[in-house]
Amino acid sequence: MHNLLDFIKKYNYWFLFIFLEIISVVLLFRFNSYQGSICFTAANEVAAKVNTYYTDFYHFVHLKDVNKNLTSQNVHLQMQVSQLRDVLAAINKKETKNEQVVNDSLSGYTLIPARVTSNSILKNENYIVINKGKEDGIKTEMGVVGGGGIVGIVFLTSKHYSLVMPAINTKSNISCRIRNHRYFGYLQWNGGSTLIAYLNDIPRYAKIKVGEYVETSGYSTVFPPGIFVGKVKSVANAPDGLSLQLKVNLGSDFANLSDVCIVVNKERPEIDSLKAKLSNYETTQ
Amino acid sequence: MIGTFLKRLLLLVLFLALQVLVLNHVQILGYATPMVCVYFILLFPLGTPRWQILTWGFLIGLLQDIFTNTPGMNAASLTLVAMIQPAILKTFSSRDTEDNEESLPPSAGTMDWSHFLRYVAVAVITQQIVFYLLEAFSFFNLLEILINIGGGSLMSFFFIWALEGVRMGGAKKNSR
Repeated sequence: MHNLLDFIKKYNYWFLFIFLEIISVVLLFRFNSYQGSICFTAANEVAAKVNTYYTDFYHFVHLKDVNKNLTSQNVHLQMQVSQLRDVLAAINKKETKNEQVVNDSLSGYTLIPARVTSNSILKNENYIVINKGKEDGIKTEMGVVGGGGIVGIVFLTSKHYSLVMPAINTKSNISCRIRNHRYFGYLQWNGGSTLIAYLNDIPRYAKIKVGEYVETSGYSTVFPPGIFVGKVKSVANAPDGLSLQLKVNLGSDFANLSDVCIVVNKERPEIDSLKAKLSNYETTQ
Repeated sequence: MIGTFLKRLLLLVLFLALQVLVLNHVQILGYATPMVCVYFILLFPLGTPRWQILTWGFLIGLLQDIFTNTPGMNAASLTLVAMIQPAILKTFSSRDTEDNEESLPPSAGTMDWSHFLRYVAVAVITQQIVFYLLEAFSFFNLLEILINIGGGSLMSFFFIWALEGVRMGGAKKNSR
């Protein structure tokens, strides 16, 4: 007994070492499935506060560039508006079919603006933290959209901050279609460049040209249909040979993300309750 | 005792701030990101109880993980470095300094530059290998992992070299 105690006393640091390594590995494995682990991510209040100060500072330093961009964009938009007004006046005053479709598809959605407080692009599993949380009405699995197109999906939320899984996370999986075609597939990212993702599961008989637009399909409740994702860069066979794999040039610049919007689907609770009813029905059968 | 503790705590906050606010935004060609938290562990003198080194190493790793959304990866790799730190320090420190300067933190001044840099290199490469293997968790993309490890190790090594240079410069000024 005495020897045993001596042994433990002498090598106590080995037990500590093994204990600490086990904690680390548990954290590593638990993070993906364990939703309560919010306190171990950058969405926790303290870490997010520090990152917020940093990005505030960063924004302040880059105000000049932002201003320049905004002005040029403003001029561009004004020109476009005047052009479109002329075109509209030239056609007629009735609401066109196309406008009706767009209005209908966006009527169930509201947009919440947010700012990115921290961002990573280097890893295989990148995450973005934004400064809106549960108190602002953000829930998990809401879509996030930036100026250049879709950004990602809300993954975890805390009181004032949320963690977003962007399209450039290897676990991300977003349903997309090709504009003016009926084919749809899943947008996935394999690591490497943040500008390029792959659209899988497109049937082989689809005639898709380089430069066509990829947009959200609207088959999930996350994104409304028709939001810009990117452009087709090249078309190739998928590794399994059963479908096409499109190389997509993403519209969002993930390395330089600052202002985003969260898409809130007002009809989502209704759809979710329907799905819950269905699963209840299936389990009772 | 309390004095060294507070000094360590201050150093920890400083290194963490440097890592999270500055160095995590450094990426050369999208690969090499310097990680200087190893340096914090390397500063423990030879006589320190090993449980202290381990706890500090785990703590700084965990805090870094929280800021960078890499659960457990930094904690695991830095705890390992904290475990082997006394052994590699013993290997590289020269015999005559070992006895009388045991309580001084290891530095280029007490060890001379070539020994100190080899000491840093072993620790940095160990940490980077463990970190990137845990991040990828497979050998599938071997080339990319090797580029990450190589680039990260080089950058971290040079940053720690630079930091050590600054520290030595400060020490020289004080002694004059």
